[in-house]
Amino acid sequence: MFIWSDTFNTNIELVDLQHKNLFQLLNKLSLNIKQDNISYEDVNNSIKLLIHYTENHLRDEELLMMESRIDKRHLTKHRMEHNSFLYDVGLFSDITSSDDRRITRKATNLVRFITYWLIFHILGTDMLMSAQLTNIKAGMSPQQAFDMLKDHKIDPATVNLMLDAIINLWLDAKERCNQMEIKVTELQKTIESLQSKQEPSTINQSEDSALEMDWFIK
Amino acid sequence: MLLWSGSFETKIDFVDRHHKEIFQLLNNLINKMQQGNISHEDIDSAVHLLIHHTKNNFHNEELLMLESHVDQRHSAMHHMEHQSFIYDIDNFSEISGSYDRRITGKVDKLVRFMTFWLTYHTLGTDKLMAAQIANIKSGMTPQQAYDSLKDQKQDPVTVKMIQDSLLNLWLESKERCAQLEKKCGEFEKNIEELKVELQIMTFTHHN
Ligand SMILES: [Fe+2]
Ligand SMILES: [Fe+2]
Repeated sequence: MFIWSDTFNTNIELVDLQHKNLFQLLNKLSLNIKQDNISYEDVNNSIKLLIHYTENHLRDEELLMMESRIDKRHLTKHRMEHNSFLYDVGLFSDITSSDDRRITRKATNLVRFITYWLIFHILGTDMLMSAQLTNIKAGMSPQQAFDMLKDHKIDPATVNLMLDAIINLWLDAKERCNQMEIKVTELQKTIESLQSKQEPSTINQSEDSALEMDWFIK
Repeated sequence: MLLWSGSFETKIDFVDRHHKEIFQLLNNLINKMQQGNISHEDIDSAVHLLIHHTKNNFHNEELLMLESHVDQRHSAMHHMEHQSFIYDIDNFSEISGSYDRRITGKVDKLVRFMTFWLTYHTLGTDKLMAAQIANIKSGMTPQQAYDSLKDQKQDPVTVKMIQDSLLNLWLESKERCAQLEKKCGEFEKNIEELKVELQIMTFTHHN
């Protein structure tokens, strides 16, 4: 569950509104998943809505930055972060194609991922964007506004929230690695046992051919 | 390369000395890796020395926290970070068991992991510990020392360094996930093929 606070305000009306809506969608979805009598279609639809809304929001932000002629150095980096996020979300896409019971677990992982990512991204990159847009509006050149960021101070509570979000993204990825490693080991065992079932006949075959060779040499 | 700078100083003599040593050992390992004609034994002992010193440093830090009566909320969290690092490092331990050519790739990953982790932990957690110990020495209770740091401002350069290290740790994990996923896919295909082969074998056997 995510609770909105002023820490997340970028003071750009459209952006703040969309961020709030995103968190609301996330909270609704995580509540939905916890209910027992949830239908597959419901979860599936909420996920699609969430992803669709997120994509829209990222595009709106990029448009806003271009309109305000924000410095290219920021725009490039900001866009890269968005794209990398969309790539990662795409990796969850098998959720919508799997209509089994595991959908709740997968949806939970997706919700965690998007929530942590938004916290990290809003408090870090979006805040830097908003600081530049304010300065550009006040008359600075985009280059000046970018160079000013060096001295942009963030209050410690925000820093901690942001770093914790990245730590959680990291820990979740590590956890997924561990699960994958277990799966790899299991698959390896299956392969070995299948190969050992094949082996007896392979041995027979080679014995046969060895006998043939023997006979041939004689 | 992990270069020492003033930002890493905790101002606790022996902690700083140990950290410098660890940075040095890590850089030595990186240098060795960059030389082409390095023997497996050399790399192996450099890795072991590095890990040994790091674990030793953890042990000393934890003793120091006990002696200085650092608030449990911090020492428990700090201890957990150390433990989690040791757990992750032990996952690299196959390095010393594998005498093949892939060792360079594995050590490379270990070195990257340690560089990012040490940056984040030294700048974040260790400095937090040091600040509390300084406050306790100047007369604060451990609780006061802990609470006073919650609102302590960090300079933007340090924050950026911690943030980048954490992002890199996350990226490395994601990459490992992707590799494992690929491996899973290959294995699953392999199993399907083996099953088909077995079916054909039993079929021809019965005939
Ligand atoms: Fe953004
Ligand atoms: Fe430490």
